[in-house]
Amino acid sequence: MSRWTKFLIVVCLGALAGLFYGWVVNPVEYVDISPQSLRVDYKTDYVLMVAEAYQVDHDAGLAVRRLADLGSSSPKDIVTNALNYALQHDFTPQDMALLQTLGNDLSSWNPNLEVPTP
Amino acid sequence: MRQERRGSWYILTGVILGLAFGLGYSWMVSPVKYIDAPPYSLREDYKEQYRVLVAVAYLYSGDLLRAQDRLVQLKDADISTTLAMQAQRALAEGHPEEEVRALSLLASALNKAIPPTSVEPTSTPNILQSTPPLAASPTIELPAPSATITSTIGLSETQTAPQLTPIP
Repeated sequence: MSRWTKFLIVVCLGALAGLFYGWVVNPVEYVDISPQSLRVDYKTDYVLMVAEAYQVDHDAGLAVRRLADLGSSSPKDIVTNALNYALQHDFTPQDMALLQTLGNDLSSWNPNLEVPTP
Repeated sequence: MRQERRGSWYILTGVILGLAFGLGYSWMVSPVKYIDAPPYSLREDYKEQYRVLVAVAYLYSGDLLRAQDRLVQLKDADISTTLAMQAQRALAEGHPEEEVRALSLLASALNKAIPPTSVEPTSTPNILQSTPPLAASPTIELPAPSATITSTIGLSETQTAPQLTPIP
């Protein structure tokens, strides 16, 4: 076996060891993530919290801004996804109603009618 | 003769090159992506927003157990102190009054729910371990917060019990 062949073999072995170390043993850790990367149950709970908060302030614009942290999907889609998850996981009727109310109100929400805050 | 003197340094060179490539690829080009992250991994400003949401949601539901369960996910060392400090910061930075009130009310309610004398350093999560997982959506009804609550940031506010909106 020539030197070049051996050289290429050890380069490959080294690369494999490096990939194993970087992906399995000591992978990159994200500690400053956004709510977009949350697990789906936490995301659903986040939407539920927005729905509960909406019952307090009745501010659809604020709810939309809060939901925007969960990704670039439309707020209505985010609420629909949460509602679907809630349906599949036996959330209480009260929670479902909150999500439904938020979803319905966001459907009819028009950003152009928002009163700009001074 | 000259080749034999060169020894096996080329093997070490190859291993180092390979390792460098592997680590560079796995750490920079294609790092492990976390898509199912827990709330404690959130950036600090998102954590603050998460606390605000928990506090305002508590204003609506008055469900202290659920609020605790949510806050525990952030893995703060001392939940009520963290909330009180955030309320102070929010007040100083001119955040909406409702946000400050919600944070301080929840901090106060948590202080009353877990008196400092009864909490041992290693047993703080006791009350929280009994809470059902998030996906199960806790249904335990707790009494509404007390009628008058003095916030921990020095504000004295009168708070009526959370108003429950009729469910359609």
